[in-house]
Amino acid sequence: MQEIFQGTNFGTIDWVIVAIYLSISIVIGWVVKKYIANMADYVAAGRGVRTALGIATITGTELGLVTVMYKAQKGFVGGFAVFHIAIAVMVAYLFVGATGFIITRLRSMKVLTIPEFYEKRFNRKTRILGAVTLVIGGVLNMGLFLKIASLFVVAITGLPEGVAINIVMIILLAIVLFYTVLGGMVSVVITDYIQYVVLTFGAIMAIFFAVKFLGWDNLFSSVLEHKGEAGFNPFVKGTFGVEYSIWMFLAALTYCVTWPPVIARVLAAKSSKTIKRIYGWTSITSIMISLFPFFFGICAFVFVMEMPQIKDAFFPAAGGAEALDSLYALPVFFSRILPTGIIGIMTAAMLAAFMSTQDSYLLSWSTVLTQDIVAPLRKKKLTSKGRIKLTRIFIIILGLYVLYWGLVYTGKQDIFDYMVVTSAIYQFGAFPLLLFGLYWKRASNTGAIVALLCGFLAILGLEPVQRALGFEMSAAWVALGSISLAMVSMVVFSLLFPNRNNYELNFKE
Amino acid sequence: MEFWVVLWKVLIIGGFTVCGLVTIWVTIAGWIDIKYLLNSLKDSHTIESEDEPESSGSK
Repeated sequence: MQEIFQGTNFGTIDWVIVAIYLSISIVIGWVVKKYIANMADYVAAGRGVRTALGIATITGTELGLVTVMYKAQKGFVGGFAVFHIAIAVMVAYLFVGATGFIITRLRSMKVLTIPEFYEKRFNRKTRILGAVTLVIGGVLNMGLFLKIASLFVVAITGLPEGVAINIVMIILLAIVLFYTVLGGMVSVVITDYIQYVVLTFGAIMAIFFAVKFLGWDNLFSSVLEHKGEAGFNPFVKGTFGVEYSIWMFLAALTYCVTWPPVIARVLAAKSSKTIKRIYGWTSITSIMISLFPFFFGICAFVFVMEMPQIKDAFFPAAGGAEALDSLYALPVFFSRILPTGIIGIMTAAMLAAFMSTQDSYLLSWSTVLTQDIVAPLRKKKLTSKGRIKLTRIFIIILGLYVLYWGLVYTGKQDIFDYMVVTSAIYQFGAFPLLLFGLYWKRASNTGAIVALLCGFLAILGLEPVQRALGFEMSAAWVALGSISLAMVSMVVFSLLFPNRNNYELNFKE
Repeated sequence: MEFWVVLWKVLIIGGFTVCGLVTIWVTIAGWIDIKYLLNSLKDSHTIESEDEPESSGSK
């Protein structure tokens, strides 16, 4: 396996580029400290971010290294048929942007987080349970970020596999923890801008080299030769299937109306009109976020099939050595086709992508733990200083957990499916509460609690959980089952156990 | 089958073209936005520090 990685074009000049790039990010965090005078500057960059910088920072946060890796893996496995997922995501954003579905009513309630909405619309118990499911789903979701970043570095640089993966994980984590404490929102948006520019220009260069190396027509004919119609048609037998597409659409819809990093922008928007415009634009950028990695994954597949030695590593003959994880396909592909210098730029951009996503997530879940779980449970009110201190402690604890999870997780399912399942643990419970809570006055506290618990059943879609419980079912069917159950139980239990008074549905701008 | 091949080709070419145009715009306009952001932060702090002696004096 090691000889596959050693064929890399990654050289000394690339190490220098990576070191300079990471140093720039840290220096920016240090330099902009002087511009931060209060909490509003630190958390919201003084509320001075305009449209173009906003698009760069949103895209930078959404386009993490993990996103690129797991989507490339999906393209490697699924071929061109995987593009139907990009269309499902685009349709979901367009639908919400055109109708204002959930988001405009939620904004008019003037809450800061979704658990806060639970308390305002239902009760405190719902807020705490909702926050717990949010943290479990969110923390599991980011659990593999560090490991995947480390796999990428090892594969693209040709470092010896094994101990190097753990060492790279520790170094990356140390930088991220340092960076998270050091940089406020000002440094985050500036580094996100640099990351966006370097990553997109780097990706365009990589597309040029990939198509030049493999040939445009050859990409299609090779996928057709090895995957047949299944490489193009997502609905043909033996490929994704209709239920997978429905799952992807529902996952995208619930993601864009419930996922905290997305909703944070909704709740901070100037007006309902602005929110709708943001969702309209995001439908276009979401295509960008999916198109690059899916396309690279397909290119990596065609490349692997044309290189007999590499093909044997990924697709060994029956009874032969164990197959190399398809996650490695993208870095191996980049390390072979990109010239020295360009690989350094791509690697630096990918690491910056990892850092900007990881620090946002660490901060996000630590804030939920402090604000929506610890603070409501405490009898004595937490001071602002105490909250900041507690949040910092949670950041370090979650950082250590991410390291631990990276070391022990052994699941074999697609990382893409892992990510969708873990986010569904929270989303599929939250969606009925938002939908019925905002549009049905009879939605009750009991219905909300049962719906949250039913949504949590999406955890059964994880392969290690199925292995432990001794059953096997596709993640798509588990997801469709849990969201259906959550919706039905919200209605049934609200009718069986109604609140004393119906909620007044009165939403004004 | 032909339908899917054409659809994905259009999506790839159209998507990358739009992406390239958006990137050029964001690169130029984003740089201007960064300068605006840092200036506005600097200005707000200058105003705050100018206000400070007056308010502390009134105490």
